[in-house]
Amino acid sequence: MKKLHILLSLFVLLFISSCDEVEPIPEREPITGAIVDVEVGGSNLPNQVYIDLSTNTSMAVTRDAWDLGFYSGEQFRVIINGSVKMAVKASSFSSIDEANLSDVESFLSEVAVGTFDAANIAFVDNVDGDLEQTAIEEIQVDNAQNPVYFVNMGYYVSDEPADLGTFIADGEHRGIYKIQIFREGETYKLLYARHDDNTHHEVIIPKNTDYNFSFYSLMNEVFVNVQPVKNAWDLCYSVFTNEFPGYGTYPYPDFFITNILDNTLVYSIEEDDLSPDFDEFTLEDVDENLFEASQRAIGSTWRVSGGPNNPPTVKENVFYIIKDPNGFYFKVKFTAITNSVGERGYPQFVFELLQ
Amino acid sequence: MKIRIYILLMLIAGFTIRAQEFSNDSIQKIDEVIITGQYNAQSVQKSVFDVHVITSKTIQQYAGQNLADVLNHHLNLMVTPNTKSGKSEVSLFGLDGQYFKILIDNVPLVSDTGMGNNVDLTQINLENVARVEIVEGSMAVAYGGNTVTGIINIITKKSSAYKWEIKPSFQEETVGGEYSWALKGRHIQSLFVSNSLSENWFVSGVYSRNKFNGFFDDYKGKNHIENDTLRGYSWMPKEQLSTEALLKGSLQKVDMFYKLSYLNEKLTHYSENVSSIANSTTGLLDKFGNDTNYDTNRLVNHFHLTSDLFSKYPLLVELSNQYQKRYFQNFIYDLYTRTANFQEKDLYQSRNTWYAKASINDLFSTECIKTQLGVEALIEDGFTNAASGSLVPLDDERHQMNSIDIFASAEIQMLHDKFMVRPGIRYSIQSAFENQYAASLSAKYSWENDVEIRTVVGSSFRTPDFEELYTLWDTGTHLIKGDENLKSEKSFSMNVFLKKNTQISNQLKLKNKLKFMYLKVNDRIDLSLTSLTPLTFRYININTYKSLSASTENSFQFKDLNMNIGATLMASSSLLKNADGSIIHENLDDYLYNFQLNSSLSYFIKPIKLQTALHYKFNGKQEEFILTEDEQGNELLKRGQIDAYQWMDMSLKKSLFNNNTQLTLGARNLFNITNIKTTAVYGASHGSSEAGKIPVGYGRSYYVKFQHQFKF
Repeated sequence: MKKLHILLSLFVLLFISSCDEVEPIPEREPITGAIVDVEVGGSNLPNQVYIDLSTNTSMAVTRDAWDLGFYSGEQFRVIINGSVKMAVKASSFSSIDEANLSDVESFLSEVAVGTFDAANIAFVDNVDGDLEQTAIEEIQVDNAQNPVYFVNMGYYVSDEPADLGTFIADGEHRGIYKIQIFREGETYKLLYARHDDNTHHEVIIPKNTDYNFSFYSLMNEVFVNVQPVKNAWDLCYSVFTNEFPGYGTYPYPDFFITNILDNTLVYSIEEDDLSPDFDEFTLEDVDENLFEASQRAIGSTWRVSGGPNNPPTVKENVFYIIKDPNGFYFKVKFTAITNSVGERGYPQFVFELLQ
Repeated sequence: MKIRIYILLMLIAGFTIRAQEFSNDSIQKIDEVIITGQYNAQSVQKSVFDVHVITSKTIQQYAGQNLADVLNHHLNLMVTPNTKSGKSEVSLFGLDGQYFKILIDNVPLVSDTGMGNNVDLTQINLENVARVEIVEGSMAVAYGGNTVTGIINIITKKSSAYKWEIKPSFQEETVGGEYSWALKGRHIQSLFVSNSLSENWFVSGVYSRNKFNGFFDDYKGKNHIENDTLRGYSWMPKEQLSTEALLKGSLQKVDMFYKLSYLNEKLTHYSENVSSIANSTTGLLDKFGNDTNYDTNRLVNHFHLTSDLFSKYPLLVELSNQYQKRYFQNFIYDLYTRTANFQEKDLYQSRNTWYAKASINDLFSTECIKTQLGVEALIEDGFTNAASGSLVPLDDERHQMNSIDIFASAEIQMLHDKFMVRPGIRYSIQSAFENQYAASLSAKYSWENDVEIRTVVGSSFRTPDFEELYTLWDTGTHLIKGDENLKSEKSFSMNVFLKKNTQISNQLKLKNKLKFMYLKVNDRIDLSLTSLTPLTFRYININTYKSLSASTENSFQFKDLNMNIGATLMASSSLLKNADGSIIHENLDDYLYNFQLNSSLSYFIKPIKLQTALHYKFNGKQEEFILTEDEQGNELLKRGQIDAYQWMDMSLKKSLFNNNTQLTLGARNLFNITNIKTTAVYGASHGSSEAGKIPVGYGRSYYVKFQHQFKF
């Protein structure tokens, strides 16, 4: 009988000893600096957002609003819209009305983003933003040297709601166009049509030197205001056609590119015990040698990829130093990628002018 | 807290009184009477099938709370836990849970993808189990399709020797080295109550709660606040509540029972990642986890009736309605306030089934021929949607699958009962596929010196499950698609069992068994790559599987010492094809081998009434064919390897207070196994050491179980 008592007393002891199993909650410091909620627009990631830190302003444009950007600088260069997975390939045709695709299906499986074929990198603009390596060759004075290009127009922005923690970027496919671009004095002459048309549209695109590019929409046949004027933006949020080394192009959501054409420079700092962390970092800590000249310097390095049941999050121990076109220095730290219920497409960062 | 202590004190008071009142009850002896595949319940020796029985005594030695703990030691069976979904899946003869059925009291149990197939073993509570009967080999005539490798039949307790029986029990268990009263380890409580209302009527109820607080391993729990992918658990926490009620009775030569069981399981998935948002109102950084509750409700109604029709023909009727519903509920767990913000609860998987089986014996019988005619009907209605979180969700539609089977068999006794042969046939009318049939021939011959030989030769079939028929997973670049026009897989198997019982003296007994199995499955359904852009996989009837195995089981009993040792060697091979018919692997004689050994030792130390037991299993390395690429990017078939591992459990059970109290102390997984290495993963051949890991256990764990029996 005694044994039973001892045993049950042990049980009772176990019950009582368990009462104070509480883990303490850590303290948190208030945030210093400005909080920026980037207006991406939710889980379809519909917008590209241009951000100017010195004025704390931003400008959003729907990703599928434009198709081609015509450079306003010295060179005659044309960029395509990588945020909707456009891809382009020169044809052997010299006349746009005669140009046609013999096999549409094989074109779409070759000239596209995300086919896991290392060679497809030639069909998109250089991922670091080097204008010397655009998918469309520099426009030549000699018209005979400007071929007809077939353009995989990529996808409309989807309007299908994504499951919590995931995104759906692509909607319907936008078809295939053919284009041919000539120089006309200091302007561009753009010829374009759907790939199976035998007539075409023509438009003259002037160089507006207040901007880096003039943007045009083939599908809507209009000029589009996409970027702010030169030197007036530092960061752009976008879906981005990136390179997956060895496997060609791959679309990246939640990508931040920097305005390298206007010399916005960035470097990243991983917090450790030795160097000053985000809160302590001052102008004196800036190291000029570390700045990177790629538009991908931030890219996707600010976030941790998720998986099933595990939405992506921001890297807590990484922050960025940004030197803007006017020579001001900022520190930037990303604080969110989802909203408070876990939906994608709500990136957020805090920043502060270094002085 | 106070209430808990109060209840405990009540119990202590109760125990002291009861323990004084009762003294001389003997342990109930269990005869090895079985029902699986039998016309009438009868002893193992008389059965034409070789039925392996796991008794409740053995189950108690494992202190196994669920079927996974017990089957883990069985030869030819492999149990694989899934740490994220909390399920335990099992394969028999190298084929997964689609190929054999789990039944409870002769009725297949509803599961995610079918009836009796792919059952989650952790959801089968053993609190009220009398015994588990396992039959290897095709059982399609008696139990329908999808019983290619065998069946596992769980028989629950349906009687008591006492007017009242009340049995509370507690079990405290460490999870690896982790234990604390509230936040770590495993905590189990259960209560069994039964009452023999009269000579003919019996009623019982069981309630049990099994709270698993997860296995932390390197993870730091749900309250971890840094975003370093260490939040959460290595094995997700889960809690199961199960309730069962039974009413059994007889009315004028009609025996029947009605059983109702309900299971609720809640598994919580905690995200590894920690999300954050700067709150511009408070100027503080909020942090939260993106977590999900997975709720499962399973209800089983089972009505059973036996009688003699016209006082002449034994009649058996089983009627069952079972449903299983799974819900998920996302919630944001605020790590600074530790509060949860719940979102809407959604149903993501539902299955409702109606099952009926009736059989009548001896309609055309003579003295040495017994016959059975039967009919079995099943209506399955279910859906799964993409939120199931599984890799291959189904379309959102509801689908129904019906079947009506008729079956007939005869047992013919010859040569003064030494030779028995049982031919049988089943015809299955299916709503979703072409009609199927299965045939088998079983035979048994006994020699006078206790040597018996049994064989089962049969054809069987496996119907495609909901996943294979209706999967639709489309991301734009990837497409996985089921096919409603799939055919059933066809199988042929042959099993031979040779058994010898030797009674050397009253105290020394030997049992030796040899088993051989041959199995071939044609038109095996596999997911095959059918197009590159978009990357499309479809389920098609394409491959062939073959396996051979030889096993031996031996037991030795001397006084209170029991020793078992067994081993099995299995060879399997596959004919693998690409979707276009081109051959990936064609040599059906190019075998993959697997060796397993198990052993157990139990000894009852009489003077101190201590039952000791040790269970051991060695799972040899397993091989699998993996399609991968070589350095030049060419397709290559290689043999992936899953490492061997050993498993050992031990327990000490002490009966106290005239056998009314049982105290069990034990340890599981004495070899401290957590993960085993595998190279059977895609891409592991790129010259690297890219090996994957398969979780098989959470390390050496200890438990104590306390059970008391009030009876009067």
